[in-house]
Amino acid sequence: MNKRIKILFLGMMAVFVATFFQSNIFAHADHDKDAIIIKMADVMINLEHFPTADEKKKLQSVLDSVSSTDQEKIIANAIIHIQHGSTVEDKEKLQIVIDNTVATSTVNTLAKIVQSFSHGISKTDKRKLQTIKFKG
Amino acid sequence: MYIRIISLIVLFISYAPNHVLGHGAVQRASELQDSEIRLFVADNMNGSVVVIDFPDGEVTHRVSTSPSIMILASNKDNKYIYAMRGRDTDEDLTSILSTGFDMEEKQFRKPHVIRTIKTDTPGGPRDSKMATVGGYDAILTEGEAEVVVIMSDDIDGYSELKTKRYKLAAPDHYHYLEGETYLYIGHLINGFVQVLDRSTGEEVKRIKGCPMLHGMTEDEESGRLIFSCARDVIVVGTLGADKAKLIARIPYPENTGRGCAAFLKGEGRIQWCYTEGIIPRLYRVDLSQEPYQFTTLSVESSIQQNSTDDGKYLMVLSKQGVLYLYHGRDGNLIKKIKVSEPFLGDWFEDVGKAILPDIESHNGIAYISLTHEGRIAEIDLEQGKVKRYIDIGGFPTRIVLLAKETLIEASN
Repeated sequence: MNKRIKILFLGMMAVFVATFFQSNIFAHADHDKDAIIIKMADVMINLEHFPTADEKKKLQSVLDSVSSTDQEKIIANAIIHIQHGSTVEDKEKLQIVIDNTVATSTVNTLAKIVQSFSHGISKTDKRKLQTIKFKG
Repeated sequence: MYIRIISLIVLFISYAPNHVLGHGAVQRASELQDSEIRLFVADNMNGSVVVIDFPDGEVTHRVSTSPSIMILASNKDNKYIYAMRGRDTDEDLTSILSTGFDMEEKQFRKPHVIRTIKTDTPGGPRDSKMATVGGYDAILTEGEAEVVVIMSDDIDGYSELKTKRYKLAAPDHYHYLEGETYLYIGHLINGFVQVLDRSTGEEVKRIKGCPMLHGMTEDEESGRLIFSCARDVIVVGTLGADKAKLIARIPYPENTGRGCAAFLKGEGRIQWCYTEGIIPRLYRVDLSQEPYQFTTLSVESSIQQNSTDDGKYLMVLSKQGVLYLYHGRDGNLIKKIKVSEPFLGDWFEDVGKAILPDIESHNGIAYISLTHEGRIAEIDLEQGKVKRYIDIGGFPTRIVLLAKETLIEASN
């Protein structure tokens, strides 16, 4: 019995590994676009001075979600605290995110935008956020 | 009394022409535009097709179609542009647009949507060209597993659209080409090439053993088709004794875990293929040399690739926004041209809608849709510099290029 379970387990692992490395499956799958980053980008696009109650609710859901990464939680927290700009403490935390992510990644981009936020979103940053939303 | 009558007549005469003028003839203004190149660009911000005419480089029209364009393709005689939706909505539509080219005047008019039809998961075009069956435009419906042939030479908004349908083996993602007398339909998930007799629609055979079939090309000289599979590509004949036969299998050069996704025609009978995902490698095969074999070309992590019409240049757009020009025969690096800011983050395009940039070229000029910057770059390949940018806003993706000289040549 134990042997059968072992074979079944190994079989399932093999299927999983084969599927993971099968690039063509990736190409036609729903890539589970980065929903959390998109949610925060969506809030930032229209942010003026500070987040509204509804926007804070959305950001709280990022903090509460088990699928959110620590970096995403730092960004969500920083947006919640925005009062015309990010707090000094949050700016420091965002800097750690920036330093520990690839410069061209969406997390890095979003962290930089939140860190430099001042009363509203600049045209350049708005375009970056729209692109994050567009491509997922 | 006499004076009153005269006054009334005068009043009537002076008043009457105003009404006549209201329904009179007006000067009709010509909408013809003497453009050399017309670009159709899918803007997936809202699903419109943006038209840019050159040499002016002006956005001349915006044609509204359904959002989430996945495929943009011209038909064989360049009268129509087909805009097919992706799968991120629950309604699959294909819009057929006029290209606006007036064959008599040899100039362009305004393009417009002729009609929009429901098509279950539409597909079939290759290299921005519609699939054909016996010279007619065809749409492969991946949900219903059919080849729908539009049997009308002229498509208008009010006539019945006559169609002929071929049943396919199973719903799947297809890679299709028409042979001399047979139709060859690669099935991705089912992993085989189904061969249909064009005249009867009957299945001739299935060429099996091509798991995860994705991407195909044609060697025009031999008529052979190349389908990419998970571990190798298969070569299928379409002419004479070769017809519907598996000619060869070409293993990928090394175990990269990535198969060919799409092919680019280089100089002579060279075919380049790029792999799924953004990896720094292209495969090369010379179809004039048997036995066929792949070699590799290391390239920067690229987000889009294409070759020029004559195969002279292989154009590789890197994620850093640099266009690398390689020789279309040997793959030697010729020059690098900075065209945009980097493409931030991951750019995985699934079947929801087109998101990737596109590259088209004509007579040494390349046009690149810079999705992330909302503009088109016009690049002089010989001089190695960007001539100008055309801001269109939105998120430009797929491009179809029509050149007047090509249209006139084709009509003669």
